[in-house]
Amino acid sequence: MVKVVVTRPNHDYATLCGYTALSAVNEYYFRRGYEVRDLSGSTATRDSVLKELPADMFYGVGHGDTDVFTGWGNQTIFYVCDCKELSGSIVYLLSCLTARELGEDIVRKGARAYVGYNEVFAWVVYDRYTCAYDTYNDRYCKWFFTPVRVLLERIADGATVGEANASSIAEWNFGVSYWTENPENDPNAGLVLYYLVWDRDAQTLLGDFNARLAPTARLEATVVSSYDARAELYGIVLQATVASSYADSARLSARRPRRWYYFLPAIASATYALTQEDAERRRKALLVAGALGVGAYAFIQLTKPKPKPYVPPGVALRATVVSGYEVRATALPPIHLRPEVASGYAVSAIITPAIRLVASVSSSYADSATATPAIRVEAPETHASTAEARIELRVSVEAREYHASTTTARVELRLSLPASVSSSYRDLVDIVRVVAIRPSAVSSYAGSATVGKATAVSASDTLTSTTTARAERTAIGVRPSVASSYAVSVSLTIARGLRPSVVSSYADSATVGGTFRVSASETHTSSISATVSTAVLTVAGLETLTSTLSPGGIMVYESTTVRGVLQTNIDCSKLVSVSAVDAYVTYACVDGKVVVYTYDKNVSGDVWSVEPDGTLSHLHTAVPKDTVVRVAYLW
Amino acid sequence: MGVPAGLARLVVKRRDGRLQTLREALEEEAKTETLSANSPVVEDIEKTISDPGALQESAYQFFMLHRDVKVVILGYGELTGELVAQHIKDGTPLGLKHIETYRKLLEHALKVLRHG
Repeated sequence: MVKVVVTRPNHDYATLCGYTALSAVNEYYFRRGYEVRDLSGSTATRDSVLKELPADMFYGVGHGDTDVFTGWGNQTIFYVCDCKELSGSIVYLLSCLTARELGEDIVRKGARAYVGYNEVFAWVVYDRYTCAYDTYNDRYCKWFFTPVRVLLERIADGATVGEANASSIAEWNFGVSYWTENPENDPNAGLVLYYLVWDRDAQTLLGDFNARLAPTARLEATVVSSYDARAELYGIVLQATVASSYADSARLSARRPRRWYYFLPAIASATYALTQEDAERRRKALLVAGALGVGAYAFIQLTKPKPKPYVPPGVALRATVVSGYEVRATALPPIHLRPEVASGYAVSAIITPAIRLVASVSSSYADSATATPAIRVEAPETHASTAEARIELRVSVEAREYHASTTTARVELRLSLPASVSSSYRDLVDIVRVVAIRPSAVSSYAGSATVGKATAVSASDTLTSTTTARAERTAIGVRPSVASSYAVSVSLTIARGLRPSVVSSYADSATVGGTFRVSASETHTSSISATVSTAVLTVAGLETLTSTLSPGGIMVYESTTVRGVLQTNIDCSKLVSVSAVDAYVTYACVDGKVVVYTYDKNVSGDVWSVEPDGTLSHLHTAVPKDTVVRVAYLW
Repeated sequence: MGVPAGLARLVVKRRDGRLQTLREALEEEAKTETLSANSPVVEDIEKTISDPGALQESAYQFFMLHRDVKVVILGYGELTGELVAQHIKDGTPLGLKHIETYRKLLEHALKVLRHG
């Protein structure tokens, strides 16, 4: 697999914008099947980068100078005379000035190509918040980062670096034309135009213009084995039938058949001709051989399958087999992570995780289920006014059944939620990660497992500072496995690179690989199924406090009563979040009541907070704002 | 020949020493929304480009027109148009680079005005 290493520090506003902009690029590379090693936030350090190199491609954002490229906290990552680790890579640095010396040295040290800037990279901001967190929707910012995105995505598409750079320059020129005409009559058009010309003229390509990334293929498939094997591969149904009670096997292949078989008659006829001594007979046999050869060639050409369009991952691949007994394991870990970082010269981070994992197995024999959550929270601070809270969540759910056979449904989920906060006062970061994992295994003599996930991440900032919360979806890996002594079948809904494996104690197996090859073997007769699916848990029912959702879901209240107390009488330990779309929210849960205060997010300098005792603390000027708030807590 | 709206606030130094945006110069010259390629305003743009002092003054005024707009420059952080203007006025390396790019922008304007 083609490896791509990315550095995305976000320790200040400038790098935060680049951090957000490159996250969309990362997503693009991931969907194209590249192995993306994203060193974001505080992991964007030289040591981390060197551990990941060598790589086929390296790109990153960071402050720079003519001879240096930096990462988190402006720590040096590469500098002139010490960048040989990039040898063999295609390099893009969204950084100032590096094209002047460092870029040349990177190419000298063996990098295939380098793209960067020989001047400082600059952009104009329309809305400070939007530019930082939704870069491609900011009225001004998007014009500066879209050419960057085009450059990198064209490389991901397999274009040469020269072609990608040309596309990027074309995008810059499009921006120049657009803002010259200024169809929206924007008063700052001249300034936007100014920096578009600035950045465009600074973009520099060095090294081999024809360098390109090796193509990647991301083909995932699944298989069903029993007596009928069936799989859908990108919409193509592959089916194989095996009749046996033992040592059954099924192979499904998307490879083209070996076409040279069609030439066998022609070869046989030619061979016959060569053994003939009679010239007339040999001539006729050769004519027949030629005709057969031409016919076989024509048949191959006529029946040659048309190239299939590229289908990005996310295509559902399904195969199902039904069976008899049932073992079920469910894990519903709604998680509430609330790091609070208060900075000044003193920094603290408080994480209040509330995790509930339920795994139950019901079977006629000895069953067990375990769910093991693990959370690690780090909140280092490197400056009087800079703090970072980083949360890593690992949830492992395992369900087993001990019987004549063994059924295992195993789910591993890894989430990385980096959050960075910089402020001179007091920051509040809410990261609400609600994860629902629902593995169910149906077995004894048959099994199935389903895994779903739902994710909600929100971040609110009560101050003038900057708060980031992002879900790193690329870190999610779900690996269910099912083992059974009898027939095995697997039903999989694969999205975003989930790789299931099935193992049986009687040598049943099904493998799913990264190629068109799909194989399955079965030695017995009954069946087990395991299903992996992804789903997004939607939040609904906002009218009343008595809104009911099924256990395991989330109850959400909505009220237009703001800057007051919601008489919810809830268990404060189950409070997940209070949020509003168009206003900052500060809140506290006191004696079952949620005290909420909302204020205008467009007014800077305001600092309000609700103290733990429910009183409102007014530190600076704030402008109250009526809005609709959502209160979410665990059922 | 029309003046694209995106170029209307570019500042040039007129022959009488005043600093004007293209739109103001246009209105004063012709009292119309069109600008001839041979207009005195075009000549003033050319003179502004060739005169370093005039170029610096024009660039300074251009950024002062956008004094409240936020600009992010990697390596410098968050600036406003006013801060950039101060760099131009003080002749810092960043300011000199901005003057150079402003010259490019005026050349771009000339090209647009002459060739559409």
